[in-house]
Amino acid sequence: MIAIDQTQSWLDQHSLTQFSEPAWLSAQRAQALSRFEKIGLPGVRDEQWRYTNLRKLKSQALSVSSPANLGIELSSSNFVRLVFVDGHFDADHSSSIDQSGVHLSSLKHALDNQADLLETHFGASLPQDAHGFTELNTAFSQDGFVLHVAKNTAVDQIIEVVFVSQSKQSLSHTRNLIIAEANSQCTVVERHIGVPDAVYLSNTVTEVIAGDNAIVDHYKIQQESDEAFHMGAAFVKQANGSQVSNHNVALSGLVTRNDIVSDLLGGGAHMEMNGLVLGQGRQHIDNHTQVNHLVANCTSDEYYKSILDDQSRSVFRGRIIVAQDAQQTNADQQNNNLLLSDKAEADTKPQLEIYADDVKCSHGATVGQLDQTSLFYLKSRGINAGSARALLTFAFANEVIDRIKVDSIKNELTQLIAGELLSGLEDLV
Amino acid sequence: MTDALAVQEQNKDLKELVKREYKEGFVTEIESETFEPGLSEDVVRRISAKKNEPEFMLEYRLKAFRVWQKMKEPDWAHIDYPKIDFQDIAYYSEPKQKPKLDSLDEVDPKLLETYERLGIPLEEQKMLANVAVDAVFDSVSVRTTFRETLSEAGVIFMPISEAVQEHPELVKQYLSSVVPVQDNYYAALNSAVFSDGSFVYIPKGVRCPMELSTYFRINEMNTGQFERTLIIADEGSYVSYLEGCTAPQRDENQLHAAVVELVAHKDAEIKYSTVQNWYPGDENGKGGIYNFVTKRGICKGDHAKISWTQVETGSAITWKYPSVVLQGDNSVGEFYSVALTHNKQQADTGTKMIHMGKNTSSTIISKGISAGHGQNAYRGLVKIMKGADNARNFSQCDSLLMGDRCGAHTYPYVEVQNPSANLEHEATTSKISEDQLFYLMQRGLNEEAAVSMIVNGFCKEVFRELPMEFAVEAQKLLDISLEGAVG
Repeated sequence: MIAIDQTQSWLDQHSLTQFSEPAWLSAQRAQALSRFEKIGLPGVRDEQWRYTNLRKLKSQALSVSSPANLGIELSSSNFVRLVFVDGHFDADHSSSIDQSGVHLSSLKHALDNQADLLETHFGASLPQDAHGFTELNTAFSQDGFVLHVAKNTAVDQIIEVVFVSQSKQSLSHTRNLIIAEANSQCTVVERHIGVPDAVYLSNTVTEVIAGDNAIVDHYKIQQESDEAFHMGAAFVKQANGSQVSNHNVALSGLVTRNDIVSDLLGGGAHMEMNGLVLGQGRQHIDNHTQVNHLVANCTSDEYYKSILDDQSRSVFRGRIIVAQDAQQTNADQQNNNLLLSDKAEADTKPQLEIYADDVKCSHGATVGQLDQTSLFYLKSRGINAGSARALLTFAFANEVIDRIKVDSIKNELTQLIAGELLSGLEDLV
Repeated sequence: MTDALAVQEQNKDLKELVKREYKEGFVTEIESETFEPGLSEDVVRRISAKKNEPEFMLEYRLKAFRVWQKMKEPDWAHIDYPKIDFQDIAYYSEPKQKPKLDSLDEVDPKLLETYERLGIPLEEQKMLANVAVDAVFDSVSVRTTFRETLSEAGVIFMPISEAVQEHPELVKQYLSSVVPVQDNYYAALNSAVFSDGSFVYIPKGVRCPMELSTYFRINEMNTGQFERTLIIADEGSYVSYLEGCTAPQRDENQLHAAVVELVAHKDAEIKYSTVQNWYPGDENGKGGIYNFVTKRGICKGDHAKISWTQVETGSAITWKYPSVVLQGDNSVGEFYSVALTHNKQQADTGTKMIHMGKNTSSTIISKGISAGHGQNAYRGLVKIMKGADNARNFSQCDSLLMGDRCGAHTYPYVEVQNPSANLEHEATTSKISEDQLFYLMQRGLNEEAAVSMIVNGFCKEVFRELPMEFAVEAQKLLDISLEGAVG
C-alpha cells in the first residue's frame, strides 16, 4: 500500500482547494480518492495485473516535485508544442496555435477559461472499473493539456505535447483532454521523455471525445528513462462516423502499463489501435486494450507487435466486446511477438466477448522467432547472418510503423529502430 | 406456390421438433440406497467404509476434505448460476443389489433396461464390436464388460473402487499424481467424496485390443455424481477411451464434479473421447446438470501423446479444461472440442497445454456453437516454460453464432518464456454465412438440412478425431441439440 501514505502527504502539501477549483471538480476528485482508498493499487492477484508485478514501484518513495525550469535540451520541431516538466506546464518552452475554432492550452488555463466544456467532458469517458492509477490521476492530476476543436474545423498543424520527467523520485499525474466536435480533424502526438537513469512515476490519462465524423489521430511515443515507471491510459468515446486512431509506441522505461479503451457509441465509427513494443534490458511493457462495440455498424482494427530482447517482457491483453445490439460489427485484432533472447518473455491474452450474432470478429496471436526460411533466403543472397536477422526484425517492426500517418514521426521511428537494429548492415556495403 | 406451402410445412415440423424432449430424460424406478444430504467428515468416513477401503484411501479422502473446507468456490469463469449449497446434496447413492456380481444375470433387470434404453446394451454379444463398457449408475459401477478378454492382454479395466482393493499399489502411486488434491475447489471435493469411476492400466508395449468406454448415468434425485477416472498407459502402450453421460430430466440442478487423470509413459499414447450429454435444462434454463470437471493428463515420458476429444452438448453449465502437461521430450498434446450451448446453457471450456520438455508440440482446435440464449466461452492457456526448446503450438478457436441473443467468447492465455517456441493462435467468430445457406437451399436443401450440413462441416475437424461409432453419434446429437435453433 505504497502510495496512499505518499499521496496523502502530497495531498497535505497541495490541498485540493489550493487551485480554487470549481466544485464539480473537487467532488470528482474526492470521489476518485475515496474509490482509490477502497481499491488501492493493483496487485498480481488482480486478473488484469497478473503478469505485471509492481513490487519495484511499491518499494520506491516518490513525491510530487514543485515546478522547475526545463533541465534538458529538446530537439527542434515543426509542430505546435506544449511542454510539461514533472507534470507542470512550462509556458516558456511552449508555443501556441492561432487558428479560429482551435483552443489548445494547459488544463489549469482551460479550467479558468472553458469551465463549462470541461465540466461536461472531464472524467466522462472513464470506465466504471478504472484501476487505482486512474483514480489517483483523477484525484491528483495537477495539470495536462486540453485541445478543443470546434465543429467543421481541421487543425492545420500537428500538435505535439512533450512530458518531461527530470526530478528524481518524482511523481506526476497529468490529465489531458482532446475534444473534437463534429466534422473536425486533429493530430496529436504525445511524447514522454525523462532524464537518463532517473527513477520516477509518470501517470498520465488522456480522454478523447470524438464527435460525429470527427477524425482524431493520437500518437504516444514513450521514451522514459530506463528506471522509470509509466502508467498511461487513453479513454476514447466515439460518435457516429468518427474515426480515431491510437498509435502506441513503447521504446523504454522500466515498467510500462497502458490501458486503451474505446467506446464505439455511434454507427459507422471506426477505431484503429496500433502498438509497437521494443523491449530491451529488464523492461516490462504491459498493454491492455479494449474496444467496446456498443452499437451496430462499427469497425475496429487492432495491430500490436513486440520485439523482445534481453530479459524484457511484454504483456498484451486485447479485448473486443460486441454488445447484443452491435450487429454488423467488423472487428479484427492481431498480436505478434518476436522473441530475440532466451530470457525474454511474451504473455498474450487476446479476448473476444461477443453477444451479437451478425458479426465478423477475429483475433490472432503469435509468439515466435524469425522465420528460418526467410533467413536462409537472405543468407543465400549473400547477406550475412547478423544483417539478415536485423533486416527481418526491422521488417517486422515496420509493419506497424507503416501505419503511422505523420511522415516525420514515421521517419524518426524508422531511423531510431534502424539505428538499433541495422548497425550490422554496415558490413554489407 | 407449392414452395411456400413446403416452407410452411417445414416450419411446422420445426416447431414440433423444438418441443422435442430430451430423450435420455427418463427416470429409472429402482430402489436405491442414498445418503441423506449433507457433507461432513462423517460422510467421508461412511463413503470410505461403504467401499471397504484400505486405510490409505480414508486418509487421502480426509486430507482432501480438510483442504476443501479451507478453499473458496472459484468465480472467475464466464458463467452465472445461483450459489450451490453443498450441504443440500447427497454424496452417495447406489442401487440396492446383491453385494457381488458374478454374472450379468445378477444385475437388476431394471438397470439393464436403463442402459438398453440409452443404447448401451451391457450384454457382451449385443455390444458394438470391440468396445468394452464400464457402466456407472449414480455412485457405483454396475458392470464392466469384456473384462476377461481384456485381462488376457494384461489390460486392467475395472471400477476404481475395485482397483483400490485389487491393485492398491497402482492406485496409491498414481491417484492425484496429475491433479493434486489442492488443485482446485471441485477437485478437492471430488477427492474427498468420489464414489466410483473407471480404472485403466495398460501394461508395457500393449496396444489395448478394444476401445474402452465408461457410461455415466445420474439417476437419483438430489445427488451429486463425483466420479474419478484414472488411466495409466505404461511404456509403448496405446489405449482409446470413450466416455458418455446422461441424466434424467429434472427441475432442480444437479452437480457433477469429476476428476480424470491420465498418465502416459514413454512412447505411450492415450486417446480420450467424451460425448457429454447431461440433461441441459429446459428452454427457460430450469434444471440441468452443473458439470464442473477437472481433466488433466501428463506425458511423463519422451514421445508420449495424449489427445482429448470432446463433444459437449449437454449440461446447464459446463466448466471444464482438459489439459496436458508435456513433460517428456517430443511429447504431443492435442485438444479437439465441439461445445454447443442452446437455450440457457452456459459453457466455459477450453484446455491448458503446459510445455516443459524439448520439442513438444500441441494442437488446439475448439469449435463453439451458440444458439438461443446460450453463452459459450473458450478459455485456454498455452504455457511454454524456459526449458521447452522448440516447442510448437497451434490453436484455433472458432465460434458460430445462431440467433441474436447468444454469446461467444474467447479468452486465450499465452505465456512464452522460450524464444525458440513457435506459437500461433487464431480465433474467429461469425454467424452462418448467408451465402453458404443460400447456396445449399437453392440446391434443394431445406433450411434445417442446410444449417445441419454447415454446422457439421464447421465441426468436421473435431468429429474426424472421434472413434467411428462415436462420430456418428456426435453428429446426430448435434443435429438434435440444434433443432429449433434455426429461423
